[in-house]
Amino acid sequence: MSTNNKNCGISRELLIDFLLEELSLEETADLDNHIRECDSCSVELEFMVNSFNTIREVEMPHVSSNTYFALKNRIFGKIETAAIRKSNPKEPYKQLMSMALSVVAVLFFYNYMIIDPVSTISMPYYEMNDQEFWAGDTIVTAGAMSTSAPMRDSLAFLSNFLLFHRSIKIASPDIQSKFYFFSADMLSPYALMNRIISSTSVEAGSASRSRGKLISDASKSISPTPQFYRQKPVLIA
Amino acid sequence: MIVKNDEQLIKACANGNEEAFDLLFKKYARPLTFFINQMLYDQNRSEDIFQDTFIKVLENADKFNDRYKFSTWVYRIAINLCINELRKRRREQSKMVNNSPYNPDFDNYNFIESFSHDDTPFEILQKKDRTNRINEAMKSLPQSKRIAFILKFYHFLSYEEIASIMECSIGTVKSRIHYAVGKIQVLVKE
Repeated sequence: MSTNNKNCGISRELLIDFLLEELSLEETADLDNHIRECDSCSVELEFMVNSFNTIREVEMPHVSSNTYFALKNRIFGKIETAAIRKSNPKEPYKQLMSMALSVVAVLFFYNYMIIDPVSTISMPYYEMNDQEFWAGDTIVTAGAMSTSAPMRDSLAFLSNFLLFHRSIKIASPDIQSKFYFFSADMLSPYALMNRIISSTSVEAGSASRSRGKLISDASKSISPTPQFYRQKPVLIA
Repeated sequence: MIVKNDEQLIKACANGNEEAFDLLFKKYARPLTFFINQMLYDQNRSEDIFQDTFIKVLENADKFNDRYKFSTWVYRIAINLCINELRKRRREQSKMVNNSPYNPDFDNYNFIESFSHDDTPFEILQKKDRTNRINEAMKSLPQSKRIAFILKFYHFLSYEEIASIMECSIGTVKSRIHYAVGKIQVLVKE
């Protein structure tokens, strides 16, 4: 809100911005010329300059050498402690728990009555049906995440998996594609950190995203059942 | 050591490079401790918060988004820690059985005065009086306005940088600073 008690139309706020050097060069030059000719602005500016100088009389304190050494020791001490904690033998244990949790959950829900998840991964793409494809990617994603991701992300993936699993039984392409996008989003930050299946993680991430898009696009087309990933290789005699 | 930008220095410091720490300390310790002290008015606690800020910056160096200026990110962390500290104090205050008006933590502020050796005793008293009035004026400001004012007047950040730190628009920063200047001018003048 501008305050203007003068007839010249120059507000106090404009003078403040002028003193704080927040005006453009052109505005600064115009205002400078105005101030030279306007007594009320000149007086107000002088008052402002004095009060700004008063406000800025206070100086920043020098940090003492005692403080420097104390902080340095405490900071490097904390860095060292954090490094030790990171290499603590308990950390791999937590990661293994996370991995086991994800994989067991996937296996549990897929149990061998529906498909064999382990063999799914080695199956050629064109031999997989929808659910086998999805199961294979899910396992790869779960495995990739569980070795590198924090527990909370693994659990988020798992809860999403459980949620969509119920819907996937209905075989809705929309639900499938949403889950693929979700997997890709979760997978991408951890793909490069995963040492065990790093290249597979990267491929799984991009494959998830591609598949999600393809399914989403296909669900909008005339044919309700996408066939592209069931195409068999053409043998050229 | 080859001169590096702040982001590279913080990463080097996180890896235990003491020279990098010295450079960063030299650059940030004084203004940052001063800023925190102006927020908390407790010099002892300000040093703790400064240390927490530094450690947070070290721990999160990998997450720094270089679209933004490094210093604004550091100030952002410091502000968040100061706000948490102030909230904690308010909670503790509300739990106090005796609601004594005097609270050493809140009243123990230490605004540093610049006294010249040439100052007469009278001049020193006058400066001290002005400093106290500035302290009171700053304390009376709402938190968001005080932060904007401090960053502008004592840390000479631009409106744009302050907007980035405070995660608001430049217009909002302007209005906060205009308000703060108006209020402080009146109180300092009295």
